[in-house]
Amino acid sequence: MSKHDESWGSRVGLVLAMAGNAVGLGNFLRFPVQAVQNGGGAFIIPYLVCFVLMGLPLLYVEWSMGRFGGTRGHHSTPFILDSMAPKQFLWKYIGVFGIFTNIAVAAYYCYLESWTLGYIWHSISGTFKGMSSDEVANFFSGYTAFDDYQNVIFWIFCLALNTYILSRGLSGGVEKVAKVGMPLLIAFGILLAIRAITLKSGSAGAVYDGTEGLNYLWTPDFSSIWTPKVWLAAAGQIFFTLSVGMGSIQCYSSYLRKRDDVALNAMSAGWMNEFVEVVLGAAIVIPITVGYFGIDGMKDLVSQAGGLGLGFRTLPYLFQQWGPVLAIVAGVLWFGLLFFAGITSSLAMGTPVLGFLRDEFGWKRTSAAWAFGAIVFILGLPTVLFFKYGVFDEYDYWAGTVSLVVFAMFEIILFAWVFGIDKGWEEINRGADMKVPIIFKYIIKFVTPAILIFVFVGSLPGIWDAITNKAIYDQIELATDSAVIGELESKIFFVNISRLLLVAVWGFIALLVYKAYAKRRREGRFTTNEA
Amino acid sequence: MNTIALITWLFSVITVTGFTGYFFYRVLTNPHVPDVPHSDDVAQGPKTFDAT
Repeated sequence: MSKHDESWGSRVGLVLAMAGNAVGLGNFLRFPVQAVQNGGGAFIIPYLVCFVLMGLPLLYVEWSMGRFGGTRGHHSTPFILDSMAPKQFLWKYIGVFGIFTNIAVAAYYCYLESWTLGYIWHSISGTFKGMSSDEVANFFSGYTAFDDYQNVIFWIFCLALNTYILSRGLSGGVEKVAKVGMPLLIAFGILLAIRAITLKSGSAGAVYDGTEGLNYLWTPDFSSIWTPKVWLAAAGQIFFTLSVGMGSIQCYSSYLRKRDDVALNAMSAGWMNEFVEVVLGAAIVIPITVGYFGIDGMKDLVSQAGGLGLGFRTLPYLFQQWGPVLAIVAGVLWFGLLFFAGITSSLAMGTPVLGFLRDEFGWKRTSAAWAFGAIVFILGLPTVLFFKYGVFDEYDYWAGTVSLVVFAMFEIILFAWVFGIDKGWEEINRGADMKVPIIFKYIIKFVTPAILIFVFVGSLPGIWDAITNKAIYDQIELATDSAVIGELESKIFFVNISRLLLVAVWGFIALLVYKAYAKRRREGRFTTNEA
Repeated sequence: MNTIALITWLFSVITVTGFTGYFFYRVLTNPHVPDVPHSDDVAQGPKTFDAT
């Protein structure tokens, strides 16, 4: 058993680290696209409703679960969940999702994060100068397709950086990065948002005002508000933006003391994420793109390449229209803020793995950090090498989407119905620096589980289609070129292999949990929910 | 910008910024810096008892 000497250095550091965990690339690339595709300004209504009915309750639940487990010496979800229902053996295996998701998401997320570093470098070195929009778009395709191995260098550097910071511990590494990264991210975001909103037609090659983009984004299409698809999209966005269902929030809060506040901290971190998403995220990509391509052009780009495409294929070209100096500054600000958004999230993915290895197998922090780096490197290799075969997307779908919903659904049932809402409510309010409205007790017990079950059931047809590779087989049916058919058949092979790999990873972690549990029994250390 | 878009945008920005600022202000003004890591209530490992 390792002696745990980890703690947060300050409350502000904890809140910034938690907010950094939630703030990711999706705040800038996914939210605006979701809003464009789901009713513009009307999207904010289901979005905020889902934030209150699902996001905030899950934040309360995960923060208090983490503190509950942490005060019993557990810093990862298998035994945090186990400590809440020690007589039911299954929960520790549900908790496996809280480690699996972090490892599998980190495996492709660190690669994505490394693109931002690569693009900062290329912005400074003037790679995009004089390129046409097609050339910039093709550069991205080449970058991810191994044209010159630069992507691998940045990826390995990014992994090593994450590992080093993790090895420095919570207050010495993660918290310091959050304290520097979050204010910089917000400052960069504000500067870019001001530039985007003040973009005028006729200046810097813009064809339309940047406010045209805001106009489109925030003009409500109220007919869409009654569409279930829009509510499902809003629920999904809230879910992914807050990083709930991952196990990282529980891990961070497991380093709190028994009477430390969770209520106000959870609200502060959650709303900070919303600020970055709604205020900054919506004011950069869409207004700048509309300024140059107009509404229809922007919609075409969104449907062709999504938010990631706008961020990496389109914006570097548009920044070039602002002149050589501003192009470099804008590139550094844009990819810099994406980098800070990424690294504060990827560090949060490493912490539960370190907590598990240290709690259960007595590993030293540095060894555990490098083990995490090595695992992410091995598991991430297929996403780098076989990116074009859809391995990256496959990881994202199963680990970054389906697993989150499954884990969150089970954890809210555990908290509200197995552990018991009365005890749970007491946990949320212990040491609270704000009064949590009593209505949340009933929301947590009835409404949030119902929404999560609805989201899960609503996504079942999509899960089935993914399992059966329906989209790829549909493409094969339509294809006439034998080379294209061969490529798609290769894609099916790689997609199936990557799924097997993910299942094997989940199974391996479950085996480790079983070993850890057996070790505890041998040593007479049984999990209990008594503090 | 048309009026309704402007109102929707400003409403969202003001609401979200207001809540963010309010809660973060309360955190800043009530720092609760932990003095000793896990000082009062965390054991050096999981709670244990003799199974026999």
